[in-house]
Amino acid sequence: MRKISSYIGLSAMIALFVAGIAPIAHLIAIVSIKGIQVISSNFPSYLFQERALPGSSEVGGVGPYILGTLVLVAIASAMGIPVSIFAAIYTTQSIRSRVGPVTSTIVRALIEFPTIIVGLTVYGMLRWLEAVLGLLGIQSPIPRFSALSGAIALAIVMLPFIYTQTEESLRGVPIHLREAIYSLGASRIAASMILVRYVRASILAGIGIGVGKAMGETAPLLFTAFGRDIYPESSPRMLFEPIGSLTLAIYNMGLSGYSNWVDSAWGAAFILLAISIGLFIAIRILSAR
Amino acid sequence: MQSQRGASIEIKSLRVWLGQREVIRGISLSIPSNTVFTIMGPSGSGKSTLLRAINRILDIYPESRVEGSVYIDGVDIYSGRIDPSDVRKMIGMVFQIPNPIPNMSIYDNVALGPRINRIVRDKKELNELVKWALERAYLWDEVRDRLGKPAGELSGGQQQRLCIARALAMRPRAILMDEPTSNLDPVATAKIESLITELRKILTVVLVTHNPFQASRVSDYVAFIYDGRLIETGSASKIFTRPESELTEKYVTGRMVS
Amino acid sequence: MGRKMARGEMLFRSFALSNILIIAIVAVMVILLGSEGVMIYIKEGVSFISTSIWSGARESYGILFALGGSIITSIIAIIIALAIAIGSAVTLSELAPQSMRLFLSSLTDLSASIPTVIYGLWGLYILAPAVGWITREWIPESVRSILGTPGSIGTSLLTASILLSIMISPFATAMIREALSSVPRSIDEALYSLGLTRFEVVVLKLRYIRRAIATAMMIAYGRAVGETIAVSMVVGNVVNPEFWRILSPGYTISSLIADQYQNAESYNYMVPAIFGAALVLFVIGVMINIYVTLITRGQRL
Repeated sequence: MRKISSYIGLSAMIALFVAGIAPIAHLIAIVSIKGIQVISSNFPSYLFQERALPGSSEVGGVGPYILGTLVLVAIASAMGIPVSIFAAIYTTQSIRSRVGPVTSTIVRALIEFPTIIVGLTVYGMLRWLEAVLGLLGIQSPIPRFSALSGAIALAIVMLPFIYTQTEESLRGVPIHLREAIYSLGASRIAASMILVRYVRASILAGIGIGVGKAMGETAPLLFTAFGRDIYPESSPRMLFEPIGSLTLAIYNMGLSGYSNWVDSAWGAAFILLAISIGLFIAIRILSAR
Repeated sequence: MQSQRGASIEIKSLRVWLGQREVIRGISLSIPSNTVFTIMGPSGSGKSTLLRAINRILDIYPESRVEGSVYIDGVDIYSGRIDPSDVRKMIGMVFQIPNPIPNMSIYDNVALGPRINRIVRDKKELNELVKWALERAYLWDEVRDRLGKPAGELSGGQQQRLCIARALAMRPRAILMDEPTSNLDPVATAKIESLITELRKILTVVLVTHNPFQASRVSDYVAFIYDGRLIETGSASKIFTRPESELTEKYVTGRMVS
Repeated sequence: MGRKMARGEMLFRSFALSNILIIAIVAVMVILLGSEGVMIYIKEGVSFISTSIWSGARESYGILFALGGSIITSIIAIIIALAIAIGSAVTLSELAPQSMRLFLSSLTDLSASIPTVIYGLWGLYILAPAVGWITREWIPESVRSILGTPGSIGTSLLTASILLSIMISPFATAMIREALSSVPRSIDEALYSLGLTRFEVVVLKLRYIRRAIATAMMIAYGRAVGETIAVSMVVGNVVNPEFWRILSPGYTISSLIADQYQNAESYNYMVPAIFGAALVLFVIGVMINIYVTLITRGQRL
């Protein structure tokens, strides 16, 4: 009797597992199927065209959104990666400073921030900046709704992941290795460079995680990058104007009622999913080293 | 390369805390230049901590606190103006468990110090320095044909001699050795003991060991540490034949459980 | 010795600027959220969180409907997620054959890195219609009069809850798996040697780690409350003062903020209202974090 109830109980566990994983498997399958359908019917122009008119029979393309994602992630990375890594190096190699532990505590809190709030506060900070500079008669260098503003928001989102991974991998270096390096008279900066080289695979994995997050986020961009459906002019001016992203496009086109836009959303979703899965695999491989 | 003047080291009223525990309770010692000075004592007596205070490698342990002074050639290295890494460029260190950088080649391991600190001008000088260091460490003949191989391939005794070569490549005025042979077999131990006695010609050797017999074999001078305090210090011949303290006598005759 | 305060040391010290930058940014963020968020309470008073209205035209705001929506959807989400996470953790840690374990657990980890907007898209066009269909065909009128009816495409608070549970399960599963693997081997062996069935051993182990499970659920709750995009695509985005009617569409605080971003600047008080809502969201998150920190400090998990 007990054996039967054991069997039933364990089967229930497996059933729950399947219930949890089935939707995800279905999601990956359907995004791939619908997405590939859309992209292949319009390949390769789908990757470069702007979107079609709403309700038209054409799907158009997601070119501006791909560009937007690339620009946003690139600038966010340029800002976020150095700051995270330098801060983590300082935290782990400075011995009696209190700045280090405080930073780690704050970063741990930052990871849990809803990303919509990150975007909203970046918007708020830029409004404050405009107001303050306006009093001095200067125009703010960073417009509220711009690629720069979106990049700042994404940099704040990616920061905790890169910082934490770098900090953990540096702390994970065995003490006798650190003793060996410092006993040779290495300055803290020289020792830091050697240690970073030693754990570079792990740090790269952390960067991969951060970049993946930045690429897949939508909420931080709502109040900052705002979105844009046509190609910006190819000059540095585009950084100061609103810009779109794949994520924003999926969000807006998916919610619209227009079937050709919804189709396009599936296509964009597949592109995003493929890159995400690719990054995930790359990070796994790096972490195995 | 002629013999250099080794550094003279003077420890005055040194106290060291690790966390809440006072590990070194007010020790004063004189270490003459170009000698083999052995700090000996049972496990837990604080000798490793004392050694680490001399090159300020203690600084990298956040729980450590130091009071007192250590004079190297008359300069107090714990005074505010001194950069610890400058101290360590002058004083090399070898640890109980050999710690070469495993995936790095033998050559690169020895060259690590000179490279980081940029003390040689060109490859030729570096090659000569590496050769010199490996010769002094009694390792050159065994590795001359495989300098590019990873250090991890060497045996334990060879790795330790590699670490000695690495420390020597910085041309230090003193070298600190923390129980360098306790993890090695008798043959490897004997090799290192004989190179230690040679090293005193070019620098000051401060050796830590928990084995009184090793201390009697290699030392010029000895200090016996027990429970964080200096019990007795003097020339090796005196300490081992006519120790003044009963504790010392127990230790050198091997009757103290380590 | 000691002549030059090495350039290297100066360079190292300059790294601290990065730390200071991080601390400063977060400090400014919190101060900004507080000061901008408080402003709407000066205008609306407590009614900002005790009434249900969101009208730019009338410049009148009260987010009770959204607050209720957030709390209810998250509670339902963690109930469902609890079941899924326990089942998944047990399956992966105890039942799955070694060969499949890595693949299946990688799949679970992978799902945590799928962008949330893709979950939203799937939710809107697959899950919502399913919920809508099931409600129309299988839920009797009597129940629907209490719990409400989904929007025409199936959007509802319940749809959002289900989608949330799918999204937070992987994280909860990972935490419970970790807790399960920390159960000492000796306990495992002792239980089996008493002749208990496999299921009984599993149940006892789950009881042993119940604090870790509770903590995992609390953290998952925090994530559910903060999830914005996927929720806003399936929750319906309709002001629904009767937020307990979970089969009806509604809002959560985060979906409200997201939904209003385009017309925020068109009205005088909408931006302050949005910040006010964000402040509520932030406070909920902080309270959960403090609670979790206190619990985990108190006992070693």
